[in-house]
Amino acid sequence: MKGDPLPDKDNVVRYVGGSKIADGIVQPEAFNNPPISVNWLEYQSGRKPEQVARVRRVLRLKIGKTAFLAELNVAAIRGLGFDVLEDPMKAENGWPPAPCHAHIVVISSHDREQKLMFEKLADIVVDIHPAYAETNPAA
Amino acid sequence: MSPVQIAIEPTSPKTLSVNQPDGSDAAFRQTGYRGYSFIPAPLNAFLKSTGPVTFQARTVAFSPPDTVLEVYEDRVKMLQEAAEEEGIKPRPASLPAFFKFIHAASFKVRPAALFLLDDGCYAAIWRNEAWRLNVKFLGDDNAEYVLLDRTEDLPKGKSGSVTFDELNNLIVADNIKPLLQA
Repeated sequence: MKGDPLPDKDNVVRYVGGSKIADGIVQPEAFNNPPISVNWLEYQSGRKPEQVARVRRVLRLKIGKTAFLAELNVAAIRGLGFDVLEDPMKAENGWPPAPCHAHIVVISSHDREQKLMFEKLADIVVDIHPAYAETNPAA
Repeated sequence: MSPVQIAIEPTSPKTLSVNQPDGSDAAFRQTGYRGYSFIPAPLNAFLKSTGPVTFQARTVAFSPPDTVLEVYEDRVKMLQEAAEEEGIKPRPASLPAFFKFIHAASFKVRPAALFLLDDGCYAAIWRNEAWRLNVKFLGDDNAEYVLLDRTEDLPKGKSGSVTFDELNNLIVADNIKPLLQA
């Protein structure tokens, strides 16, 4: 349901353009402009490749050939002063429904610089997956 | 470039030996290095000759394969492709500033992860077990940086706007040279 927190053990993926990812390192600008749009992997059935493939199909943007999906753990995100909340999207304007859609929101600044918070957020990416379907046989 | 003497030895197969100032003849070896060469016009005469020939030629300029530009060549091309995908207009002064920072370092800098930000600036990240340094190159000697202590669970570190001199001082003062050094 919209606004419900995601389970700590679960994971989300964030679409990251090819200009913001290199050698498995993600540039924090990929997470700018909160609330940060993500998709909940475990909402989808199947193993990780199938989950990623299903998420890929509901992304509401033009998928760049150089882009990736950066995967983060929900508990790790929460540990930095963010929260991850469900934000399911209905079908509209030709886009399919995206019930796995969620948001990363800032709940506390901890009096720390936001730049450091987002640098740390980018640093806890646990895995990356190609965003463009043709580059991934699992799609 | 100053001319060098090339002594032709019309053996079979014919070879060229180049008398470099250091006595080497490496200029005409199959090096695979990127560079350019100048084939002197008398070469035709040499190829047709049956006896010894001596002529002047320009020296050959080669760049070593691990030059900074070459290390980043593929990534810069990829970023240009990504810029078109994402509608980013690269800021002309930013990439030269990145290379200037690399060249000006007092030590050999190991390759960084290079990015193109939405405002057209290039940024580089160096990361090891303990640190993560993210530098945004604004142009000339100006940069913004975020230095993250990766050993801490919570975000800890420092950030700011600096000149290259100030950034180099910070690298020394915070003892993070091993993070950047090749």
